[in-house]
Amino acid sequence: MQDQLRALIAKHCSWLSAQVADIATCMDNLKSGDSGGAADVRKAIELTHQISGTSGSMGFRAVSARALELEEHLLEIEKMNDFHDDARYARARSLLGLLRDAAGGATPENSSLYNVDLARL
Amino acid sequence: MTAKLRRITYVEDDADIASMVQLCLSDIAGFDLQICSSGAEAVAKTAGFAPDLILMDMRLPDMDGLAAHRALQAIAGLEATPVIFMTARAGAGEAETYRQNGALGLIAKPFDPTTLAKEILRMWQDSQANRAA
Repeated sequence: MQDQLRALIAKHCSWLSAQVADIATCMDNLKSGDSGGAADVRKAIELTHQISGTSGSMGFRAVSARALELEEHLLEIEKMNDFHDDARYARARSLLGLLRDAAGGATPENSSLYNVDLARL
Repeated sequence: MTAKLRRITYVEDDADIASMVQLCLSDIAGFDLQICSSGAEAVAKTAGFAPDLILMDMRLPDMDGLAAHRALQAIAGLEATPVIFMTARAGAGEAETYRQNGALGLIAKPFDPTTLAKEILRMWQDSQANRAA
């Protein structure tokens, strides 16, 4: 079962990298202005929500917290219905950078669950 | 007399989270677990499984957890099956809403896999004690 747990965590780490890259693509599209913004922000919200909900349960609480910060900021942008405000966009980029840094450090061995003794649960 | 918790239906569309919960509740804790990835799948399959408890994620691809729970409650044999909701929005307001919808409790996401089974069992035992009182 320990192997199963570690395989799950490793799979999550790969997924996380792809997920953060997809958020960055949404942000790039938002900046280019080609799509109007709403769809990009909604997709980025969905992606960050998935990270905030799953990474913490995989032993990466810091990643989850960073994702939640970005999600809440994106929800604010969506609520304001103004997708091209420079200051809000810069803040979103900054929060994405923090999330990317946290996700970059998310290796299986760094998960708080990696060395959990399942037999003692 | 209190009923023993054996069979749990878990409704969750995230495959990795579902795998983690399966590891915690089935492989380690020994519960008989049925996993459904949508509200519609739960409606189609849960009556045949006859769970003691439903563990319901709030964000599903086809409906929210409250709607999925209402749909399950409309099925003969599942009217009184207890439910625990799992949500990333676990504030006091949300908890009250879920309780009004008959939930035994609320598990915040992200959850701690090392304590998940104990937390569910505690909610179950509390509800059994309240029922017996």
